[in-house]
Amino acid sequence: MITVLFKSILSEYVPGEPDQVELTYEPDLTIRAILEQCGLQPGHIGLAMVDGQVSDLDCPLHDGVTVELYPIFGGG
Amino acid sequence: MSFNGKILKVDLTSSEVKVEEQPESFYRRYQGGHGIGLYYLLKESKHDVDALEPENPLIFAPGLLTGLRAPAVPRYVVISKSPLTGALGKSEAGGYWGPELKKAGFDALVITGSSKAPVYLLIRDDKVEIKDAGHLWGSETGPVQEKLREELGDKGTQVVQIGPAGEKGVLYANIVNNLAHFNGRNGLGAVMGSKNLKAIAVRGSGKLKAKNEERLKEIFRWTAGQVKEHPLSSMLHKHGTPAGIKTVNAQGGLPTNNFELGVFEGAEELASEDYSLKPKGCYACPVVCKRVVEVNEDDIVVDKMYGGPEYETLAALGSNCGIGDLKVVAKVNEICNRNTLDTITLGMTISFAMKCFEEGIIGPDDTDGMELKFGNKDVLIPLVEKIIKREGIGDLLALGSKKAAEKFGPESKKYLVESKGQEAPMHDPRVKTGLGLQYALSINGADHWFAQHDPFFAAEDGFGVIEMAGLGLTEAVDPLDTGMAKVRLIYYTSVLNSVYDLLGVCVFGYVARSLIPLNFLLDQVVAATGWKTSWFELMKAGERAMAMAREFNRRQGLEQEADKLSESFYRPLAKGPFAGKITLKEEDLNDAVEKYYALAGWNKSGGVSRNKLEELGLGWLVQ
Ligand code: SF4
Repeated sequence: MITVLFKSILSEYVPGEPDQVELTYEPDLTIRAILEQCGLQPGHIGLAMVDGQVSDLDCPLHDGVTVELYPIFGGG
Repeated sequence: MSFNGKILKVDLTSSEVKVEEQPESFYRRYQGGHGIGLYYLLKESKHDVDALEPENPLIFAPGLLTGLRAPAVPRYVVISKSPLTGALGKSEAGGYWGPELKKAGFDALVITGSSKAPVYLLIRDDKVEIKDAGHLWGSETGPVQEKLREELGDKGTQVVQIGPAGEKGVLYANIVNNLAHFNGRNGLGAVMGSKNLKAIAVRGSGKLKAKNEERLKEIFRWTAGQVKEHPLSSMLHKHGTPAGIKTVNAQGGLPTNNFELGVFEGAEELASEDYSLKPKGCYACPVVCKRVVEVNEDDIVVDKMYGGPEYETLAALGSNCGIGDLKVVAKVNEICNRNTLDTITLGMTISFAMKCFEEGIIGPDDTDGMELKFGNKDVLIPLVEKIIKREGIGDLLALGSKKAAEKFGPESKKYLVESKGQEAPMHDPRVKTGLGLQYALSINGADHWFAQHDPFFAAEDGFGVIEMAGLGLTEAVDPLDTGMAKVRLIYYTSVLNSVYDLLGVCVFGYVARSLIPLNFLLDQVVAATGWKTSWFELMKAGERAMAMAREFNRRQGLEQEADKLSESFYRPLAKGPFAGKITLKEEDLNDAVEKYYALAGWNKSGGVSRNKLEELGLGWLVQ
């Protein structure tokens, strides 16, 4: 099982607007593939973390990890 | 056309009012905004003028597109010499005042001299009067706007004004229109106060007519239809800039305790939308992203009339002072807006004093007995009130952190976080190095909109790379890179942002921060003016305005030595994902600054080369 936390406005891209989704583990699953499934573009993401560590979008995910996704931000 | 061909000039010493006419060729060269502002600043100011002398001009200039019914182009600039930095003072605001000045028939307002007694300026189309403001002096912004509209019998009058902080000469006092849109930085409210000019009330009955109204309408309709679809504009519309707090905190770059830590445990509360009402907007802008906050509780009441704290304010007065109480930060924001204080410099000056207090450099004897410790929210409101009134410690802190450090002693200087004497905004260059280049190079002191921000260019499928490939920015650039790829990114986008300022563009409406693409912006310039123009010509105009700004600074004695960062940024962060890591080195940053000069055609001392000035049609600046 992989837990994905959609932070801030990103939750609005997931049907029903939950901020947490559980996905069944599949080998070679990446954050990029999860984004595609949710209709999010990579440009939407400002920061992706896997178990609290910054991660790139193409790194294969292990079973049991928690992915946190934050929206892009730059310039207030 | 989107311009009137007329510049209004008012001398407050002699009470003389003049109108100068300019041909179309002037607008093609200087466009609007800071292009026109700098033209008059360079023509009309003495080389060694003091910012608070009557001879220092104060110029208000809307952008070339401002006043049209076009999306997210409401901006005007205020240009002068900054009393905070001694460098160029340049600060942009949206809202409603700039469009109204254009509708009154003027493309800029140049104010010189100083009145003996408080006055306000009343502009009703071509009727311009200097009026007594004795009854308004000392009043906060809300009551002043109300009184003026009542006296003039016209609720549509647009008022730009200073509050008591500007009157008292707080060196980071700002200027506000419509109570919630600020020319926020560089202390230009103190310049207005030094002229005894309380407000400028404008009403225009004219209408700017674009050459091709139909194309403008199409782009407006497209924008209105896309605002809630595009992820960036929809985030701005629904959640405003405060939504950024969580991302920046998770990245480890949220300025906390005077930029010592990159994460703050109170970030969630600061980002809360508990007190937010429906957002407000600016003239003819469908994005509608300005925050409005109201608090009605036993201990704190915050009036929604003054807007609400945006990302910069939440971080500057919140995390950066170790304060996570949203109600207190919202209240201080309201006090600042009533009195016209720059919340960034204010927060940074307070956090600097807190750091000096914690390090024992200053003590309760220096602070009127106040415990200036990070997280002590009880001192915030009384301290800000002292600064506005310039009482006790407030009189010193009213000068900003760099001047306060002179008094606190040499030990304190290592805790400064500024460039050219202006305190850094709420983006940490140790997490995105492009901001380091921006702070060092910005002509008006540390500024976070000198260029575009690194995160949009961090991946090849990032919004910045997709949207700006047409400018030649086709590659991803690592947020921590300091080599040529980063210099090119900052150079190209600093010229782009200069173009945005010429046109009156709001960065929250256009790429890379928002939705409207560059080809639509070019179409709007063509539609507005009828010119057969191109991005090449616009970028040259952007370069021209930057060259004029650089030349103004050179005349103030500011060259390469001024293009530096505070040593604080070369120390590692003490907490968060970047804790203990050196991510920005002084030699790399200085090398990047030199590379930028080379790309810009500036010489090794940072001055604009003679050839570059002549190429840009600025031969009149060659000595
Ligand atoms: S995008 Fe927001 S800040 Fe910019 S002009 Fe529109 S409403 Fe104003």
